[in-house]
Amino acid sequence: MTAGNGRALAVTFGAARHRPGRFVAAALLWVAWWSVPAVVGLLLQATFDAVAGGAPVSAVTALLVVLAAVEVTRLVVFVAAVAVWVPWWVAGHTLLRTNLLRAQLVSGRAEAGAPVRDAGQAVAVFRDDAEDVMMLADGWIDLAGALAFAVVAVAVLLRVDATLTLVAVAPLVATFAVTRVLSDRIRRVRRADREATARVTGFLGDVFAAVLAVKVAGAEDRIVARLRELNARRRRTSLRDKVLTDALYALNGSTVDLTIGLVLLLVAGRMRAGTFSVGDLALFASYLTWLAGLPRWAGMILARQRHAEVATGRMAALLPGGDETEAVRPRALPLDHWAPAGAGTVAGAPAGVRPVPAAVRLRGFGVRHRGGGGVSGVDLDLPSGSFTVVCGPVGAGKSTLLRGLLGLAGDVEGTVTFDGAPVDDLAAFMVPPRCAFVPQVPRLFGASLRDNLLLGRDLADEPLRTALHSAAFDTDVAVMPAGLDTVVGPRGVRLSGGQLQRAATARALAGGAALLVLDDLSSALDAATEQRLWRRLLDGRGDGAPAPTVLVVSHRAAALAHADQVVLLDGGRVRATGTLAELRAAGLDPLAGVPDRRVRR
Amino acid sequence: MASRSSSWALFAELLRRNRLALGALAVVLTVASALPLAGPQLLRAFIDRAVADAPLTALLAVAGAYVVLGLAAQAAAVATTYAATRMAWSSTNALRERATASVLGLDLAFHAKTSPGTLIERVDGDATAITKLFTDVVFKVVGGALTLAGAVVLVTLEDWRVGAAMATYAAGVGWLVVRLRDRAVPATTAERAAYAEVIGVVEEQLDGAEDLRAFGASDFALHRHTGASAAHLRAMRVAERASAGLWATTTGAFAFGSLLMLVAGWLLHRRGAATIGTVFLLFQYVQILRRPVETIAEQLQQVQRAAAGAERIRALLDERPAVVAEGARRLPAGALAVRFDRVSFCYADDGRAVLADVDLDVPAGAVVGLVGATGGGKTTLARLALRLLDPTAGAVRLGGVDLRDVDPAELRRRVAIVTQDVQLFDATVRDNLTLFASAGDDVPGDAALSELLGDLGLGGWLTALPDGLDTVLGGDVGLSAGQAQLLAVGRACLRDPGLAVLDEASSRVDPATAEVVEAALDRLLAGRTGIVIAHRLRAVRRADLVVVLDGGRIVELGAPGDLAADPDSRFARLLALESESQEVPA
Repeated sequence: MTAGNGRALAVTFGAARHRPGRFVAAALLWVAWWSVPAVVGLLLQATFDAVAGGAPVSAVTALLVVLAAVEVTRLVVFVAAVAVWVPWWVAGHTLLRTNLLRAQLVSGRAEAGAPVRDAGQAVAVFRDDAEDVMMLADGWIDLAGALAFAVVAVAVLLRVDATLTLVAVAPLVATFAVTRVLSDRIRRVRRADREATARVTGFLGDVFAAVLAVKVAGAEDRIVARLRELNARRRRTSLRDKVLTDALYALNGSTVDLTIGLVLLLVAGRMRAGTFSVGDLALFASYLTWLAGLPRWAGMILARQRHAEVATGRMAALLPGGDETEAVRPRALPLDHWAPAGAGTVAGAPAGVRPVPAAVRLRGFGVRHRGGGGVSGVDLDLPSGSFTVVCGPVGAGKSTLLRGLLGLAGDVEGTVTFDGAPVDDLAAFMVPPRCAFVPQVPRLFGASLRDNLLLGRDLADEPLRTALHSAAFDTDVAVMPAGLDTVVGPRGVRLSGGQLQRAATARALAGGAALLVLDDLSSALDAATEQRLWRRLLDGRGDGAPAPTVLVVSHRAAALAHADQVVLLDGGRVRATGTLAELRAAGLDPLAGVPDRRVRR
Repeated sequence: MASRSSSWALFAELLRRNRLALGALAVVLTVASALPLAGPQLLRAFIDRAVADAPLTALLAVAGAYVVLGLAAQAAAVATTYAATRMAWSSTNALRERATASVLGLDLAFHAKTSPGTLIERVDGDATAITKLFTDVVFKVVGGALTLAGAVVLVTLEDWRVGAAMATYAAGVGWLVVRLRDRAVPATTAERAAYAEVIGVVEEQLDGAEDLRAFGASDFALHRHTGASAAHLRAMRVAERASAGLWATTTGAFAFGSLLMLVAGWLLHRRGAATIGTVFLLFQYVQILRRPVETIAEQLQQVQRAAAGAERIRALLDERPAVVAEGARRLPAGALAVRFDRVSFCYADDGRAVLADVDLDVPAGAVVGLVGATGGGKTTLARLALRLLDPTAGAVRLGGVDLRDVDPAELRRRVAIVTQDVQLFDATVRDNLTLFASAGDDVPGDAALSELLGDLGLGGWLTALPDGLDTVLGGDVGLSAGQAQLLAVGRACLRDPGLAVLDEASSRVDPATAEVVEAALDRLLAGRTGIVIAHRLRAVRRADLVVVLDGGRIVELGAPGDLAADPDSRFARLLALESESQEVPA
């Protein structure tokens, strides 16, 4: 047994026993369901023998009534099994996703897994890999049922005729081997087919996006000729996929025909002699039809095992310490009595008390990116209530410095002290009310604006409205259909880039913070709105309430003019620190650097 | 109903085009449907002969025939799949190609309001629904129906009453399954939607993971995830109840049907009207029918989906471009003079006037710069010159010929455009340059292409590529915005056009790259007529003539130097505004 094998088994077992009662109950019901055909076969045998032997009406009637009752039982068992199984199935998925998601979202190093690079691609792990693990757990149930049936069936057939049984069951082994080979082929062929399909749709996407260039160049015919090539390839791969898949089904059917045919050949003599009855034949025909399906089942479960191994490996990479068993760490999941009111309250400042502006000191601070680059050797003092602007050319490490300070990027070195106390775990420490952050491209979630601003914090509407005003977002909210209850995000009101940044600013300001970190706040704002936002942000510093310590990345004159200090970064190092006038006097232009936007193909 | 019949007409047309393949398919399909019907007959023969003490060789012959026929039936089923799949893909691939050609023929007004994603869905998604209809539905349903009919006939031959009862029962079960499935489908759809919502929440939270971490909001996020999962559980309970009910009904109906057949066989046997082999035969025919009836019920809903897809493709094929290309005149050689003769343009769908009574002469070899606010009509004017649109009034003349009279292929050879958004193909550098020209087309060889790229400043880039001109762009081999633009200039230079339109061609790149692009553009414009659309005014520095457009009219026209010198000119005011809005403070 390989290591991957053991890991998959451990995770699958963990997911299966998450709701142990349901798992066992569902398994028992499914085993019962699988076993009923064994009884049906025996009853058919008795019925045909009774009919052939001219048994009395009452005897045949009794047999038929029992047969009907058994079939009804099978249906009832099925419906019950599904009802017991569904909550187990969903809970298992939810547990896996929750643990994976938690590792991505938790603030704090020990519980955090390696962050995903691309959310879109990582979704596959949360959806498909969790499914693969659950499919294996589910496969075990079916395996148990299939084995139960097979054992009973073979035992019954052996009693009728041992040689005949062995001859009839032997082809199943061969079928199993062929099934495995064929499944491997199908998997490869299907991958090729997916690629061929992606080539076609990708090409069509390119063409329709470049329709102007194509039309002006008069390249329509050449484009269609190229499409024809790609289409022909896709037809070949699709044909191969379809035919192989059907061949696998046909193999199943052939096994039935072959085994029944073998039985006929062997019993011909004995049937003439009357030692093998019509009922026996009915029994064999009935069981063999079911048994012929087993190789495919076994193949399917082996495939699920393989998928689950791959899935477990991918999950482990995203879990704390690369430990896959974290995926099935037990959690209380209120799936049956979930209530929206139970939002987890993030440790927030007591209502009405604004946090005291922090004094932050960085010594020899650095952030190392996995792929190289980053910042290093940063010594920086942010006095309590001060306003610091970081600038520098594209790629200088401005965002990296900010995100590193918040524990959001790479591995950090050096020390950070917060009001004199050294900070160990930046990610866990730099959260509200100690620190609030406005990222360069903020994200809101498909929920009400209020939920988006609070993110689980317990705040009244009043401080929220103050924050909206300071962020120059109040007028936008005033015209929204449901005010703070307006749902934003993909299925709600779509916010413009500027609105998004101001909403995120309000989110950071809500409830106050000792340190406010803003990354290129004005990049999506028009000039007038930008002026208003800076004015309100900076005016707020003189309103009597303690203003937070502020650290921003900006290239805007409006921000620079108000700066207590300007930090000029270049190539990941601090090139100069001082007021704007001092830097200018030293012949340094903090606004150098022109973005080179690279197109994504 | 017209649309419904149009989708059937499309199916019929697709099938007609593959008449031969269809004939072959009909043969294998019939064989594949008929062969399984022989199994029960052979079993009866075996049992009855065995009971009647027939010679052993006769029994062995029947048993052998059973194996052979069984294997032949499976082989025929695979052959049917092969023939059906092949035919389905051949015919729908042709449809995809036709639809693509048709879409490319439509004008830009159509493309402006239809996203590439929608078009992919139309051209490929809907065509694939038809492919599935042919492979999974038509032939399986037809095959199933043939087997069903055959079984009914064979049972009727044994006893007409049993046959009639069987036909009625099968029809009744089929109807019930269809009804129940209709009820199960919305529940399943709702379950899929609820699951998609769960995955949507996951994706959204992963995407915003940094925001959530920065706010210590993981509990908030996980609670939302649990909520979405709870909703999924509720939806799945409903859906599984519906499909479990459906399965139980189908299975129950067949089990009950088998019992009824057993009873019928028994009664016939008691009266001496059926041998024990016949009782077995009747029972076996019910077993055989299960698959076809289920398939028919399962696939019927697919028909609706494919019909809807066919209607949409049909509509796409019926869409007619506003620009009808049927001229035959040729254009003079060399740089082409452009003349806009009292040109007006308004969009057909909303009647919005974009250009009104524009009169403009661009001499051959001159470069005209179009400036003005967004919506002023700059892009429309340029597109009229390329005949991507036809004027609603007036005429556009190239080299003195009305564009509507020019041979379309000739026109495409003689005009070129370079836009700010360059769309590259997931294809080789060569194909990206020549837009998939094949060896037979009139295009320069590799040496000339390499030289051209070198002239444009892409020589170093080209030599660094692993496979030179054969390198596939995309994936690991990316291009910066500037390089992509240089490649687009290369596309234009390849065809030696008499008129080149530059749409903001250098606005997206950094100053260093911009210089290289500018040089390449100068090269493109040398000895050619040029129309340059610019938001940034420095882009019109090479213009001989500046045209300021506002509200679809020419409001100012003159040499750039003259206009800039006149402080009252709009051009001068635009220049002043642009220098103010610079980011860097003085």
